[in-house]
Amino acid sequence: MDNTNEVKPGGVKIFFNELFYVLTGAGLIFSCLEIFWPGVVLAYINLNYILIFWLLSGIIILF
Amino acid sequence: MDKKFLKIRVVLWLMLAVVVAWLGYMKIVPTGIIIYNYDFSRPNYFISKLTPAERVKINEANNEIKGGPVYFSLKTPRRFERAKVTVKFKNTTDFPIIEMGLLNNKDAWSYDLKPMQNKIIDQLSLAWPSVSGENGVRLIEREKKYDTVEQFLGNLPERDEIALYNYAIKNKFLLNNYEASQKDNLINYKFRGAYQFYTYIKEEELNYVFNFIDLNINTVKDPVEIKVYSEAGEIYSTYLDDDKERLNNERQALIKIADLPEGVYRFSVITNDDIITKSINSKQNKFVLINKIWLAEDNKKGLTLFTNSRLVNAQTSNPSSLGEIKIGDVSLDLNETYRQLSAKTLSGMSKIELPYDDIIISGDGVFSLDENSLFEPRFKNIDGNLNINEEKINYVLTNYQLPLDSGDWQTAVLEFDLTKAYQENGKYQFLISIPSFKAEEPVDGEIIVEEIKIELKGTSLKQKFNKYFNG
Repeated sequence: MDNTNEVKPGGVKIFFNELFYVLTGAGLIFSCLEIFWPGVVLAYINLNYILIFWLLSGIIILF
Repeated sequence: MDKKFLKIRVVLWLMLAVVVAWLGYMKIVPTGIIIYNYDFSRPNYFISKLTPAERVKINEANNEIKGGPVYFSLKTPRRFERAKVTVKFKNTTDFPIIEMGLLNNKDAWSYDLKPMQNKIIDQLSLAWPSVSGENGVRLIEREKKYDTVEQFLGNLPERDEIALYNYAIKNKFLLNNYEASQKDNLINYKFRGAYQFYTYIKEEELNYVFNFIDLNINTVKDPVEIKVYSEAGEIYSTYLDDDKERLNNERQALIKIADLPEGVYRFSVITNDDIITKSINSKQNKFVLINKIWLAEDNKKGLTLFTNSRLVNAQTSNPSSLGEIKIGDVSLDLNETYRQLSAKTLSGMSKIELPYDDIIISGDGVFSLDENSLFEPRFKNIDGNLNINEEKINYVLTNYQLPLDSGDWQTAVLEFDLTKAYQENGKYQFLISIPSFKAEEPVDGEIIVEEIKIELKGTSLKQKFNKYFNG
């Protein structure tokens, strides 16, 4: 008999987990785009917000 | 993995893919057409704010111009061929002319100017009969005489009766009683930086020798480009590169062109302020500088110039050049560096007496170094200094389109050719010029810019593919 209580992560946590990966990917892709085509991302998107959401989603999935 | 979580993952990555694709689309602009709009309510990445700050008052939803000229830049994601600029503005001052320009040459600071508003023509159009021709050309006559613009162009009246604005008439200018000089003429004046001049030939070789000195004050390269234009367009150009080691400060350009028809030829010397033209030797005896003359330091004393400009401006950056300048009957006390002073002259020729050199003299006409060589090959231009009645102007020919009125606000639409424009770091430089409007002088009324919309047109992706694959 297995006595360990496996806690399955909730839907919200999984969402933030996935969001964290996507925001990591977005940050890397946008940075690369900015290196090769300066201004292509910054003209429309403030990368600071990407960084803030990435940090928040990272903090949320740690709890 | 749970199907629900897989769905979340797919949706999120798909959203990122869409954003990246959209950014690529906005960078490449596959259709070749894109519009940027700046309404001054928040910063725009593509259209910069108006500068310099001391000539612009920033309001919540617009910018008030406190003195001219003001500048802004346009950043484009790729190269385009044409820009259609729509400006919404209000002008309740007495300054009759507002123009917008696109920087074409940085060394010569030459702008391709287009009219936003010309109140003189607006008022003339209401009072005088006018007739429209092809491509938006308008002929405004004091008394109705011509039925079409073509009829007017085919049978031009006296030059003195015609004034132009934003239009060029292809009409050969000939000087009566002109005789070619038999001797060499030495123009023993030192000019600083870029300048343009007109010369005249008749059954003679166009012959100029320029001697330049490089001051090497700034660290950038100081090339010199000389272009020669006939009334039909550019006929010759030469380029003198800076020497790499910067050891030899002197350079010479020889220009000899034979078998040219009689007429006026324009020389454009394009360089920066590090270059001094030490002397010019020529076979021609007509030499008039266009709009601006900057006699460099170490010229001879007691300098005298002659001009047909109706408004003459003087400015210096050299404290030892301050003093009293006589322009016709007017005395200008140039007592402050970097401040431009202006004097109105009577129509006809005026004499300018400069106490010292290193003063920038500019105006709306030409400048000669001696009384006899003054000639003006251009038609009169409708600017704030031209008095239509005093100068007995009977015909005005213009390509200027009235701005659209909506209450106090006006909307001007201007087309610019970007292929000839100067671009630095992906930016085009624009200026808004309001002649005689100075920030330090009080003014009644206000000039406000509320919106700048720029529509860019260039080659589409389909056209590029067709060109690449079909040649």
